[in-house]
Amino acid sequence: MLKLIQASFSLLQKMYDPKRALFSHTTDLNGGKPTSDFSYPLSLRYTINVLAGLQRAQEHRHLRWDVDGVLDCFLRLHGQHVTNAGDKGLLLYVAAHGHSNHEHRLFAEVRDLVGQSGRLRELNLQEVSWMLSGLTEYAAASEKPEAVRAAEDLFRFIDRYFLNKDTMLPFHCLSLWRKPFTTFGGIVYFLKALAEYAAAFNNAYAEVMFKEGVGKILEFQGPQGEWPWFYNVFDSKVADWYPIYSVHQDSMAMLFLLPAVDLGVGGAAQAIEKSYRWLFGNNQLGTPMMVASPDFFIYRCIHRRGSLERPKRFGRSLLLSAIRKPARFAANPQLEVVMHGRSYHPGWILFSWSPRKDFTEFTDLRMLPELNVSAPSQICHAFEESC
Amino acid sequence: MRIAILSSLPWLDRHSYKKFLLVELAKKPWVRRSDVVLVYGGTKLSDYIKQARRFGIADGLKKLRSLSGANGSRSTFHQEKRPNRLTSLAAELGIASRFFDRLSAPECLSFLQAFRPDVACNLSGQYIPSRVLAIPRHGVFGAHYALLPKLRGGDTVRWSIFLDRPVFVCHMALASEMDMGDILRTERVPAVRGDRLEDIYYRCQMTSAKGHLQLLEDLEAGRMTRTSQRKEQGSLFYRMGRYLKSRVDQALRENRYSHYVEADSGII
Repeated sequence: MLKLIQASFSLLQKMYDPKRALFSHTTDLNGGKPTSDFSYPLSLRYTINVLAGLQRAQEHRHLRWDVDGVLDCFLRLHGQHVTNAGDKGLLLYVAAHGHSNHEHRLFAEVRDLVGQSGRLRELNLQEVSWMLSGLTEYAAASEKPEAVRAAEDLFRFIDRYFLNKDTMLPFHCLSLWRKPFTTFGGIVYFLKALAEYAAAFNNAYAEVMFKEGVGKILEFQGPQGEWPWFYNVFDSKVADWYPIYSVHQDSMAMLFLLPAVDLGVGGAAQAIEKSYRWLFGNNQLGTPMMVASPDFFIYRCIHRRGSLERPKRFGRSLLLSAIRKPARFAANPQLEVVMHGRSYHPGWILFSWSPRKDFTEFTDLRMLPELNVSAPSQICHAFEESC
Repeated sequence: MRIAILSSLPWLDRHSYKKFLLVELAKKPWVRRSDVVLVYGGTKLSDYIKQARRFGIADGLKKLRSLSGANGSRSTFHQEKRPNRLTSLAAELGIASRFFDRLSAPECLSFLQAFRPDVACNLSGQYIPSRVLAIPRHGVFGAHYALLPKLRGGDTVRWSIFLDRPVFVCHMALASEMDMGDILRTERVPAVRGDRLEDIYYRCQMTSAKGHLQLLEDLEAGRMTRTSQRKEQGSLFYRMGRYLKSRVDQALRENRYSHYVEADSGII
């Protein structure tokens, strides 16, 4: 097993509550003892994220894992609370990938949404992208014409309404006030969905748009490999660099960069190296974000100090857009590290890195030599107890 | 043979290749001019506005400039004095023109059913509804400016250059699914160093017109062949935005296209 996978799996165990059958929304390491928050709705979303990661790790024989059983249990306890369209899309992805008996019901729910363009227009980029991922996976696995049609329809909708083809950046959502600004998170899921769609249907157009989209986003990577958080979709500039999230650096960026490496996109491999090295002190504050002591942990992000982070960011971005200037890095005293972690982070690590045999500097955690990881026990036993 | 020629936006319909098609068609010994009709859909102001929005003002102006042939006259055909509008030329040739809000309008369908065309040639650049496709005995023929079945969809001349593939014009019998009809003929369109997109596009238009004439000739002689397509043989490409368009323009400006032919090769 890759050391990175092993360490992430150990961390996930600390973020899991078998009684609730949920992975945490937030986990803090207070003096080495983890304390977690399992509040809705993010713990639902993060649990689905983690299931996708565990499924991938199981598939590549890093873990033994009864995904179907766990999915059954999760849906029995929490299924009625999964109402978000994007969450349903990701759940469909997991169900279809594992040929779960829930896949047909989930497909019907997601397909119904695709048929309602009014409702689709109210969703954000992450939600439509996850829906497309789910539909693509289901269509590829089932080869049902209605599933292929639903995936095609949603792909066409996203291409037409969510992608600004003048800059190759996607809109966060279609509401007028929010349209100018998009986030790195949304871009990641959009590119991931494009890559999956292109591969599943051998679609040359989707592949070109994916490669061009990756080429565009590579232009924004910072000098120390950091991925800016906020972008202006209309003038193609960074609107705010912060927060800079660890999960983007080591796993979410890989959701599009690793497929890009496989498709021969120039600069993708170098971007990956710069991206993960950011976690090992090669960042603006010179702080390690991935630590081995007292236990393996990954801090969440580097952000600007102070309150009202979101409204301030929005105001700053509007101002910069008005004067047509890109954002700059903040001075170090204005920044701090957010020390807690979230379960979807190790979940995406499992998802991104489980199939890979390259980039062993990172997957063997050679930049974290002091780390000792014991062989993890199996989470699925704990899941079974709760059901 | 009874032939319906489908077109759109009559005020702007001044394209050289369409004039060429009409003039050459009228010369065919097996064509009676009373058996040819020019049928317009998309005749309302809103259709012009829609078209302007689709192409944008800059592209629209470029298109207008290229209506009577890129870089001015290209052949003796263009040096001859002809009416500016296609409808005027049709009238001069004794070919009737009919105007409808949409090709799918009930009045248009009734007219076509009564006219009983053997074949229709689509020069409208618009989606042809299934109810229209079903009327002509041999179907509606249309030209697609890229190699089928590989490259379907819109903006295909640009996509061919962007993907560094040769430019083709393929004629097909239109089907209800976009660019999925039977392929009737395929012809490569040459590009030479120094060409702008409008030049290549213009050559595609002329290839399209000549191809239509050849197909009608073949149909008359009973020697038409059809090749069906399967969906998985190609991909549907959508319209480009400014980002990729500028890359195509740049590639042409810098002559970075692998499929040029020599200007003096006699192919152009």
